[in-house]
Amino acid sequence: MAAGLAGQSMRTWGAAAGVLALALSGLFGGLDDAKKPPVRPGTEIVMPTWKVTVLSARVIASHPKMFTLSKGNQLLTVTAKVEITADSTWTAGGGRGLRLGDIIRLTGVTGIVNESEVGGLPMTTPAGVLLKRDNNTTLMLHPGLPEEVEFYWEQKPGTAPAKELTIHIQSMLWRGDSFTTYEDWHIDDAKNVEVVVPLDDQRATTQPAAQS
Amino acid sequence: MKKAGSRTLSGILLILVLAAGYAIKTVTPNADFFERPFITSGPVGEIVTTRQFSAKVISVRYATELKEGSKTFTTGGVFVLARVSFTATIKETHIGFAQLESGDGRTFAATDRVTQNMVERSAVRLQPGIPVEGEVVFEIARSALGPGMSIRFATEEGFEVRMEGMVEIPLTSTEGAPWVEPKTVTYDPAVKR
Repeated sequence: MAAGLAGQSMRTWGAAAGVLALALSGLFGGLDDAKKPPVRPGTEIVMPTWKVTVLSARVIASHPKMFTLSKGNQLLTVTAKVEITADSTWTAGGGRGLRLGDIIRLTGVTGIVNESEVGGLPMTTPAGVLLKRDNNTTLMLHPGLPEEVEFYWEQKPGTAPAKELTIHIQSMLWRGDSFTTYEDWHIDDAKNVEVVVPLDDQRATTQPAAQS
Repeated sequence: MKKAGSRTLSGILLILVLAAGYAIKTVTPNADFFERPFITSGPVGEIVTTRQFSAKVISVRYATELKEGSKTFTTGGVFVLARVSFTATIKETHIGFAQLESGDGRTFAATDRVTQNMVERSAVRLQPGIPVEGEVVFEIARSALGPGMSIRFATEEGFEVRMEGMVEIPLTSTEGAPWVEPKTVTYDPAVKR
């Protein structure tokens, strides 16, 4: 049998390897649709680390509790119900661990301050999170405590708002780093869910009070 | 024929070596295990000492609403207020890590909604031999309230508590917890030296 295997042509070996790779990739979701259709606002999205229901989005001129790097920058905000289902508090980050910015990202929006690229696409993490319960910013959400929050992004002034926002709710995977072996949450891009939500332009009604 | 058999045997040996390597990697502890904190446990009311500090939990209060100055904080869960005393042992330090672990293994960091002077970023600096007393506030899910809860503290000079000395205080009683009726308490973030 060993002689039979070793005697096969390179073409046969290549074809067999290809079929095997396809079968293995299929086992881990490689044959799934590459892009799932976006879900509607109001739909609960269940991920391994959180449940998120995107409720609405708006663009505002300013907010007394949302800090901006430059005076005059406008704010894009997304209101959502979020419940952490992981077993630890999810914080604003710093070092390894759980980061609030991992929950949600914007894509395809121009003028965002501190925009970063993920996989060649502009994907921006929020600048901050406002807890609607007391209208204050927060750096953490705790497991088992569902909250309505407003994620916000800073946008250059005068950027014409789009009619709708495309949001990615991120999926996370707990795994060890193959080099350091440290275990941590990693973004599992293949399982992200896209939400398209209408954007309400409230800039005219949220201008800061004029200085007297 | 002999060459073909030898090639196949080499392939099988290679697969076995890789499988053995994967098995060893899977069953041996990783860096998170080797670099875990050194935990010293002790009951409420006793001084528990680790490398850089000692801690004593004096009392614990529970609430569904907190009043801090003119502000009122509500929660969908429960606030846990632990009155603690910290003392640095060998050099100036601060308590950068404060966590409540529930009986089911979930961990809750000290809340950032109220002023926290004893722990986290704005923690008071501890001087060796001088106790500092104050309250630390946690906000936890109602389902986390119950037997098996413990509070953990550590000095956290960097981002993590790897190989740090850590104090663990099991909360064996939940007396006064608001199981059904809402309960409001006044919280004062001031510290006593």
